[in-house]
Amino acid sequence: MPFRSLRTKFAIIYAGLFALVMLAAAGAAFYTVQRSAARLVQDEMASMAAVFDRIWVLHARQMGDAADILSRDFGFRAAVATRDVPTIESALDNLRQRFEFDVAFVIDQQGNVIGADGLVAADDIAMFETSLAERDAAGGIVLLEGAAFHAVARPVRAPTHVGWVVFAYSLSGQGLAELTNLSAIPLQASLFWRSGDGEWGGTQDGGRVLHNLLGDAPAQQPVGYSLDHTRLVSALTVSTLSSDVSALLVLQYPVALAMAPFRTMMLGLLAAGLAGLAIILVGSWLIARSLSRPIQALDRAAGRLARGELSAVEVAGQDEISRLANSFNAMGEQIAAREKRITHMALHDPETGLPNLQALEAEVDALSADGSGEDIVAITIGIDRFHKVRGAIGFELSSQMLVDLARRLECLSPEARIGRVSTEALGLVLSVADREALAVIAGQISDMANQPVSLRNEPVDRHATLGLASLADARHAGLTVIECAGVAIDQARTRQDRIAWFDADAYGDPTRMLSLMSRMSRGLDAGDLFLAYQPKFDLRTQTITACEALLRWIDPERGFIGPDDFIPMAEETGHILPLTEWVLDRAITDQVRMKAAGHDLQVSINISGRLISDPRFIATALDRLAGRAGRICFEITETAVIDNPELALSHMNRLREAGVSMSIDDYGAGLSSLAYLRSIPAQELKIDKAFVLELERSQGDRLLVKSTVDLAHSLGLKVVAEGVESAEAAAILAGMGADYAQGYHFGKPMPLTDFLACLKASPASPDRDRPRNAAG
Amino acid sequence: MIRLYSLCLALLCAAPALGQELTVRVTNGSGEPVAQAVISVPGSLPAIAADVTYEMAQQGLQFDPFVLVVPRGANVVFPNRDRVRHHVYSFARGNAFELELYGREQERSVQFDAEGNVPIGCNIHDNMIAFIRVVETPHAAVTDSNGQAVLTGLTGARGPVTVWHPYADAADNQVSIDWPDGTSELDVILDVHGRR
Repeated sequence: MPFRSLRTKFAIIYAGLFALVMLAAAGAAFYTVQRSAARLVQDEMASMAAVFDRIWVLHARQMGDAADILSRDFGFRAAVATRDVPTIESALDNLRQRFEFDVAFVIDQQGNVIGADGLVAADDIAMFETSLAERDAAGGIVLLEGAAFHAVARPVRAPTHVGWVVFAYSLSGQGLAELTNLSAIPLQASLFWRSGDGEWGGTQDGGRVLHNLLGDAPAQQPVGYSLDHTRLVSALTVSTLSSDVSALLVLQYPVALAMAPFRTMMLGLLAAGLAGLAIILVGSWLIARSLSRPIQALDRAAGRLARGELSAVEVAGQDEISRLANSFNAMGEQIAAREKRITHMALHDPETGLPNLQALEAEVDALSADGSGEDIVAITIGIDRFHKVRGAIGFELSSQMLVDLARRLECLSPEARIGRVSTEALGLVLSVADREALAVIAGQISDMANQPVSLRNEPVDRHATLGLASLADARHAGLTVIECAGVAIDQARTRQDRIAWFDADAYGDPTRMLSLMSRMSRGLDAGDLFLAYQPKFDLRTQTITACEALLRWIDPERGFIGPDDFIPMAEETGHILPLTEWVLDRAITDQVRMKAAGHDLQVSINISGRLISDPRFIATALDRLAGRAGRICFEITETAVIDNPELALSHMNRLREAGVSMSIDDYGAGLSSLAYLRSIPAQELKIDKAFVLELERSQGDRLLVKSTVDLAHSLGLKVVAEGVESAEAAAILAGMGADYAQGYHFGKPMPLTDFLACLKASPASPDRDRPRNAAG
Repeated sequence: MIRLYSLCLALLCAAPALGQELTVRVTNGSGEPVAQAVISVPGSLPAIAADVTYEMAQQGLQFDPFVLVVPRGANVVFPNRDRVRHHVYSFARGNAFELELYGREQERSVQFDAEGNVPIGCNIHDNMIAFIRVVETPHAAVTDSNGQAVLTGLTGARGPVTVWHPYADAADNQVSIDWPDGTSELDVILDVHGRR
């Protein structure tokens, strides 16, 4: 059973168990008492029946004795023998009064009754004579005039038999009641008789009453219950004067009356049981309450603790619950301490113990929530070349240096909140009324931060750059004020200043980049991005043998977006990988269409330096280029091998082995390294257009190009010149021995359909286009 | 018993001319002899001889004899041979008497003037009982232990033989039987019960 309260559960279970035990005990007691009471009552009844029997016998004997005395009295015998009726009657009266008999008479030898006054009929006399003839001292029940009498008869001898003296006691009305008065318990006695095998009769309505008491076959029985079980019954067979008549003396005792003394006991038992039950209920409730109260207190305290409130329970006593409460309190304290430590750790720098970035940001929030109207300003103090300094003096001293600086800042600007905002920078947050005062403070801080410090008696040079930003600036830039101040340090360093305010314009809009990338992804799906092809002209065969695929983006809203605007961003954000894969797939598709149009051209693709080191891209490229590798050329700048030369070169070798052509792009524009030139497994070198554009006019450029062509050829590389815009330049390059030329003179980048049209128009004579291109 | 014979002898002697005898043997239904039965035949009683004494003694808290037959007007003495005293009485009609407490030194006698049976008791000792049968005839005798009694001098005597016993199962405790002339022996069956 689910209980919502421990107290109720305890109370109900305790009370229930106790009550059960109690009921069982009471039931057992009740049963035992009932049983023994019934037995006691039956025993009592039996003994009373025996006593009554004895009373009956005694009574008979008393009557017999009286009759004996009378029958042997000489005078009485003389009177009977001489039939002296008055004397006989007076003697009978005398005895009847003395012994309180109801009837006394004499039957003489002639069968005459003396002294009965018509009570004894002729039939009765015959019965008496028949019955008495066999016996000397007769006694028993006799019926006279329909009424029952207990009679005794004694012969009168003078000296021979001269008559009978009979004494009788009426058993109807008061007679039996007087007899029962002699017993100790209020017995009710009834007499029943029958003649021969006739119906049982007796006092009023005898047959039915007897049936109710003894059932169908009445007989002597010691003690039993009546048919309806309301009475205890004991039946005694009593002797009768006439053998024709049988008689039963039935003693009754109402069970209710018999059990009455025990009923008091039962009521007492019941009252004691109810009182006990009540005590148990109240007691269980009290015990349950005293047990559950501390548990409920613990429950409430645990609830408070769960809500994060500090919570303790009062402890009284030394029992398990008290120990639990103690443990709970200890746990609460430990949780509070741990929480405090965690909070401290969350808001402090573990190395220096200074408040951290989060602490300062919280301070900014607090100050802005103040709404004092003053501007909130963050100053960050970046230690120049901190990593180098730390490498030189160690972590401990460098953090000590920061702590030392923080102390000094505290002295300088007590109202400011100071913390460590990054590894190399401290930050101050304060609200100021005017910027003049702030400039003074910033100057003081800068002076102080740039003083050499003494650490463990060692002088250490310290240089620092300050960045300042206000909350207003930060809101425009979408950064926190402290982040802005950090950016300002970079801006100051870029400008070689010691102090700088955050320059929002120089910082730009960082959110632009992300929106541009998502736009680009949509553009790829929508077809806003496409490949434009620029022909590569073979200077020896004077034909177009290859082309370079260039990515173009025409956004429906922004118009043309140049590759310089989104390729670096794609490289930064990782979008370059799917973008290059798209380019590769498109180039392969387009190459198939070119071939279908009758132009079998090698197609060059620009591959970002980063992707050469990316195993994912290499795997994808090898997969896509299987079988057609020779007709695709990867144009790669030398920067691709700078960061991780070993990995990049191994990837290049794998591509080379798979038959992918490679071209070194923009040669001469960056950090051209002869070492790399030697190790990169390329077939082609593209001279940057910067050296080609001014070729006709610049003697220096001509020398550089010439020597580069020679160098490349000596390394076994073909040479492509970019940015060829005139026939003169083309002629010069051809003269220098360059293999291919690319530029507006031969054709600008154009969509595939235009490119195909162009190829069709002049597959081998670019000269025809020259005037138009020159004009463009 | 001697006295009984002497009574018979006396009767016989009183009528010497009457020579006829009748022997009556009384038995019960089982053939056992019935003693103490009184046999009598009607006759006329002569004047009482004064010298004849009838005795009903008390000895061993019993009357002796149990049955005594006397002619009317006879005097019966009641000698007490016990060391205790007796109170002998009878309420027999016509012959009622009462001999209040007397000892062995005292002699008491009663004359019985009415014909009939006289039950005799002792007021002190209930078990003492005897019967005196007063008859109006000289022809009477008591049966002996063989149930036999002999009536003599019956010449001229007529009438039935009456057999009486105090405890006989018959009306008035007696039966009367006619006996033909010349009969000298008579068997009578009389059932007798014990004392009640």
